[in-house]
Amino acid sequence: MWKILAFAAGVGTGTAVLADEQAGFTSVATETCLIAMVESQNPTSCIGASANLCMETTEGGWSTYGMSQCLDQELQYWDGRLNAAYKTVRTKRKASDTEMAELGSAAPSQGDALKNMQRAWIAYRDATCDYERSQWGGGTGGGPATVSCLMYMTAEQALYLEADGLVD
Amino acid sequence: MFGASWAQAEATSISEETIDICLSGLDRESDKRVCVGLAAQNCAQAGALGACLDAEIDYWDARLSAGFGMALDRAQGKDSDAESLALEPRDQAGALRAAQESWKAYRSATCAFEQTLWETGAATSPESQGCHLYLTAEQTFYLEAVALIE
Repeated sequence: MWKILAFAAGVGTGTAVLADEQAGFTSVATETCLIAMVESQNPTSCIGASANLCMETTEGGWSTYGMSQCLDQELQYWDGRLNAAYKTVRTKRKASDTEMAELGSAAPSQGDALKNMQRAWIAYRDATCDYERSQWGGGTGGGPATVSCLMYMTAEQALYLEADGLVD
Repeated sequence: MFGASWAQAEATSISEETIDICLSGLDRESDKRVCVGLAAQNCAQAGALGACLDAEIDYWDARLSAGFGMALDRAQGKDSDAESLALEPRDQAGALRAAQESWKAYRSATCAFEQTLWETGAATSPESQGCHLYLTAEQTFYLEAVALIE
């Protein structure tokens, strides 16, 4: 969980190769980073790579407004992945519930437990990012810091829900 | 008989040094999670896995409380600074407490979900213990890092 720290340090890894490729936002840097991951590495280290490249290649990308825009675009990217992964897991878990019910099992519902988890995660995400915003008082850094926090947390949850173990 | 019960008693404690050595060997880019669960694994070579996982969970629970305490101290310091400088009130301490409460609910709901995926469906299964262990360690790393921000 390196939400606030990664933001403070400016997340500079894995972006230089693609720096001159294209101005504005593209998710390529994040995807390239994820593909290059090996077992011992943490895929969460790829979060923010595209937003960072966007800041480097966009005119005014390092302004408060520019950072917020770039971070928000990567947030939207991860949000799409999160929603897709959630739907896949939900379909799988509900099918499993149906199967268990047909077998007469009294096992607790996986679909309900999934929904409870996701609700609890949303509350946790919001409260954590509120806390991170509070670090900035009324300062202008609060905007990008909040978007950065949302981006990291959304990405982490997307990667969690994309894990094979949840759909096997 | 005596030997067996002695081994059991020994097995339920984990080596904190194992965790410290692993963490101190990492560079800034490394994933600290690689150091989670090692102490329980070593402990389980001589004793019951469940008891070893519990022992490591206790270790991270205690470290989490300490990390939260440090982060709260820092937040309260920032809140009083803002007050004495007549800045806009931040209530970082309140926001941190709310975040920590929401994290506890998230941990419990996530591990309850994972528990439904395992055959036994028991909270005492190694998989369920592992969920608690990893999530607690991750939040500990987060709070320890937050506490160190200037």
